Amino acid sequence: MAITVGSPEADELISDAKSLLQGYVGATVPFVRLCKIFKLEQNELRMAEIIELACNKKIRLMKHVYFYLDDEFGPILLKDGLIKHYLKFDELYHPVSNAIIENMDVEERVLIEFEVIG
Amino acid sequence: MALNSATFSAATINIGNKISLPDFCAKLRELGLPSSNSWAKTIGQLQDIIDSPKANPTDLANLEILVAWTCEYLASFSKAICIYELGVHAHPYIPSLGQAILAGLIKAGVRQNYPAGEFPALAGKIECGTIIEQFFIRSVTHTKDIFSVVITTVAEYYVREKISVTAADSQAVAKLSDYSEIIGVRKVAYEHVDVIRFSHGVTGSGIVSAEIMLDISRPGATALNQDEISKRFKKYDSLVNTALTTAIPGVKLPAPMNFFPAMDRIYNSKDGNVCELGFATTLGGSVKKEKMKRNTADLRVETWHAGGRNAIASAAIPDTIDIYRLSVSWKITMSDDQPILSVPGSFKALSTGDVRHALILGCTEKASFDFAFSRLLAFAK
Repeated sequence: MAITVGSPEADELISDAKSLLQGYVGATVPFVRLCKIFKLEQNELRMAEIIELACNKKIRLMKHVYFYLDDEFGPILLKDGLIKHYLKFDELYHPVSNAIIENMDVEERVLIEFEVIG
Repeated sequence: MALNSATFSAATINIGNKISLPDFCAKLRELGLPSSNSWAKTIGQLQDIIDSPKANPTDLANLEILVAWTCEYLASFSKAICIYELGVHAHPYIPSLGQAILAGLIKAGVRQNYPAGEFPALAGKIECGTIIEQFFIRSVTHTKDIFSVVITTVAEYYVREKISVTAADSQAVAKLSDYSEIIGVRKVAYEHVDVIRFSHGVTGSGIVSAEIMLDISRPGATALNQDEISKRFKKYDSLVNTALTTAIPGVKLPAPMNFFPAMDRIYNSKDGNVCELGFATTLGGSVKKEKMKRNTADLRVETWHAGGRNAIASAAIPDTIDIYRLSVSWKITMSDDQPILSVPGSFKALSTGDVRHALILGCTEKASFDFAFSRLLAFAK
C-alpha cells in the first residue's frame, strides 16, 4: 500500500532514507542494491513502497532511470522523452535505430534503476 | 527552391520510419512549431501551416529549417564510418573528382529517380518493397574540399516477434493448442540513409580521402550487429570501387584506416568520457567488459577501474591491459547532443590488431557529428 506523503510514517522513512543514501548521491542504483542498503532483502514489497515514496515529485529523493538492453551495445540509457512517450502511448523507440520496438519485447528489454538525488 | 506543400508532404510523411517522435517534437518546440503526441497529428498540423493561405512567414521559414534539420539528422544519426586514404593530390582536386565519382556511381547502377520525392523524403511501406537492394542518389553537396553524396537503399530484414495464441487460434489450428505463444519471423523492407564523402585535407595535409558512413539502424529490437555492418560495408566498398575505377582508371580503394591504435590513444588521453571498455589483462589472463551506465561518466576515474589499473601497475610483477573495444562520449558546447564515438572491436581484434570501422552515435545534427568525426581522426592518425 502506498505510503502517504506528509504522514508521520513518511517523514520518518524519508529521514532514515536520507541518512542511508547519504553516500550514494549521484549514483544510479539497482533495486537489489537498494534492498541491501535498506536491509530489506526479505521484504521487497516494503522496499518498493519506500522507493515509490522517495521518487514522489514532492520528495525527489530518488528518480527513476531507464535502460534499454541491446544485444550489441549492452545497457543504453533511455532519454526521458522516449520513456514519457512509451508510458503514454505504449510505443518504445530503439535508442540507436529509432525503430519502434514491439510492445511484447519491452518488458525483457527495459530495466529500471534509481538515481539518488539526495 | 522555396518549400511547397507537396515537397513538405513528401519530406515528412514517412519520416517516422527513421526519426523518433520525441526527437522530432523536441525540434518542433525549439522552432516554436506545433507538436503533438502522434505522428499523424503532428504532420497534419505542420501541413495545415504550409497549406494555409494566411501562413505566418516565420512559421514557413521554420518549416524550411525543419526540413533542412531532417536532412542533417538522417545523414548524422547512428552511423558506422570507414575512411580510405587515397594519397596526396594537388588542390583543387575535389570538385572534378566529385563529378567524376558521381558519373561513376550512375554508371555503376546507382539510380537518380527516387520514387518518393526529394531528400529527405522516404519511401512508404509499399514503395520500399519495390526498390529492394537498389541504390539511389538523394542529395549531392560540395565545397572546395568536400564532396558528399547521400544515398538511400532498401534492405530486407527478418524481425522476430512473439505472437500470443488465443483459445480461438487453438480451435482453428489444432497444432497450436499446446502453445501459449509462438515466435513469428517477419520479413521487413527497411530504408537506410548512407553518405559517401570525398575530402581533401581532412585526414592530413593534402591527402584526399573517401569516407563511407553507413546507417546502422534496422527494424526490430536491436541495431545492426557487427556482421550485418560488415556486409553493408562490403556492398558499398564494391560500389565505390566501381565508381572510382570508372572515374580514375586504375585507381581502387585501399584498405580502410585501422582504428585499433586509436583506442589506446583515447584511453591514455584525458579527452571526453570513456564510457565503455573491453580489455584483457596481459599477465592475469582475464577478459573484461566495463560500461558506464551513463555516457557522461568517465570509466578512467571510476573507483573500481582506476583501483584495478593502479593495482596491476604496482603489482610485484606489473601487468598491463590490452584494449579491444572502446567508446568515448563528450558534452559539447555547440550542440545539446552528447555524441558517442565507438571503436567496436571484439576480443578477436587482440589477435589481428584490426578494427576497420568506427561508430558515431547520438548525433541529431551535423555539428555534433562533425565534432565526433574530428576526434576520431585526431586519435586515428
